[in-house]
Amino acid sequence: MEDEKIIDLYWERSQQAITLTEQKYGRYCGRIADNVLHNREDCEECLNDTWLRAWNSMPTERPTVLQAFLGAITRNLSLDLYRRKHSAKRGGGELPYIFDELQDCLGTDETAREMERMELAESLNRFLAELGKENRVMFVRRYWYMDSIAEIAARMGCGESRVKSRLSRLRKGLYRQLKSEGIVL
Amino acid sequence: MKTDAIMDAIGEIDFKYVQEAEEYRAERNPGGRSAARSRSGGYKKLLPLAACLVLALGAGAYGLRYGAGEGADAGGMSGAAEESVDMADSAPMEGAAAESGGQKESAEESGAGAMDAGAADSGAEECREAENMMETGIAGEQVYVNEITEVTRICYDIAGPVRTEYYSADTLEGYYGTKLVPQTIPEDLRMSEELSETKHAAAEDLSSGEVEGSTAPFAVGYDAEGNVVDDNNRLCWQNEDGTRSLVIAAYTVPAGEVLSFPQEDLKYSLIAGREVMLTHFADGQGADNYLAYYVKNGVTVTAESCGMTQEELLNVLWELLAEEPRLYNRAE
Repeated sequence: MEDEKIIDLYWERSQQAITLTEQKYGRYCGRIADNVLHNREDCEECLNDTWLRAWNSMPTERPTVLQAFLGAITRNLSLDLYRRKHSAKRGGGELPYIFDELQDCLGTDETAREMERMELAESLNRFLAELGKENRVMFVRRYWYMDSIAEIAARMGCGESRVKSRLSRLRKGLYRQLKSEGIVL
Repeated sequence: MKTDAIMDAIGEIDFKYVQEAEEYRAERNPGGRSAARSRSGGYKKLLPLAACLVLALGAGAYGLRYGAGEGADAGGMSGAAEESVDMADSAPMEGAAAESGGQKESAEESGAGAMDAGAADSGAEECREAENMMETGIAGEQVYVNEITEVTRICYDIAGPVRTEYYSADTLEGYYGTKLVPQTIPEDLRMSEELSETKHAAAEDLSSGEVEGSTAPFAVGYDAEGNVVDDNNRLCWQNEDGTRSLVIAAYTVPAGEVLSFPQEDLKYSLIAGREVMLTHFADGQGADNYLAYYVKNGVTVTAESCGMTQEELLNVLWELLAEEPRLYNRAE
């Protein structure tokens, strides 16, 4: 079923919306949750919470890209659950490496102003808009979807070393942009 | 935690980028290459290819066909043969075409390029050879097009670099010491967008001193001892609708992928006095795909075209090898 019709069902408060959402995007959201949590029970919990949050948000929301909207909910829920379970130490999977990689984007100036999350997101959007498509996809797959390097290499049709070096350059580029905008985290 | 802040902010990016990343599949990866494909099998598949290259040279099959016109250089040919043997010893196809596209066909194998030593009908073999051996009218050129059905890419891990130096397309030629940016590219092809990323090149990180401004899309990685661990780079050109493309890749150090051809008896062409392996296959859309590779000055170079004519590719290869336009050498 088309996304528009599924969204209409949400607005009509038809519970069929949830069933159809799960059928169409369960696997997609499940992959995102698994990339973060690597635990079946936790993933199922996240997915159930995703459908609940989607139900609660529509109406009033009417997302233009339902898939990404649901994926973002799952991503946020997964990260929150991950942080709760690993409040002091990092667990397994890709996330510890991703956290380490993102250190490249952080500065050391403690006096710089803190950025609101949405302002930082806007800066990120500007950064992504300037990238070529391949680089943008690589960045988003790594830091939004949290794919492994091997998965990204397979998708991009290139070697893992190229993915690693390209991501390193992108992180440095992001750091330079944030710094030029007076933002240092 | 600061990384939490940036992770959360990444979660707020425009959904169109999220969707784009989900829908993206490498345009030149129709074979569905998997990075997880057997790594342990990589070296096993290397050996048959290396062995067959030595056999193809040693059997003299190429030598018997080499009857090029003026400019034929026996010395150059033997030098090229030695180079090829060295290439075979060092696993010739590793990495160079890693970022090139490739087509994997499930169609039945074409017999046109096969030179099965056990074939009983030598007459039929000669006919097949004749079909694929071209007299191009260019002095110093003898072209043999190996028809293949698929190219399999097998990748394996290499050590990550400790230090990276960046190069532009022009300075990259200086690094390799061989021409990689031909002038005879068809006019409708332009260097691809990924080579035009000037804003995010790590200009401050450059240590080579060879990058102009911030144009530095290519990289060479070194280990702690200063040895090159990854200098696998590719230059890409394509037309506006993506139906025609050329990818030229180069390396001096094997960099993570191995090409494996289904047929064992592949023959070399002679282009500008150098041996070049030239293969052809049709992709799922019926477009002609050519894959050529050679070794020059210790650099393994592959050129992979899609939608280009053989003549167009030969013009490019000649210029890369001879560093002068091919048509200047048209035989009288």
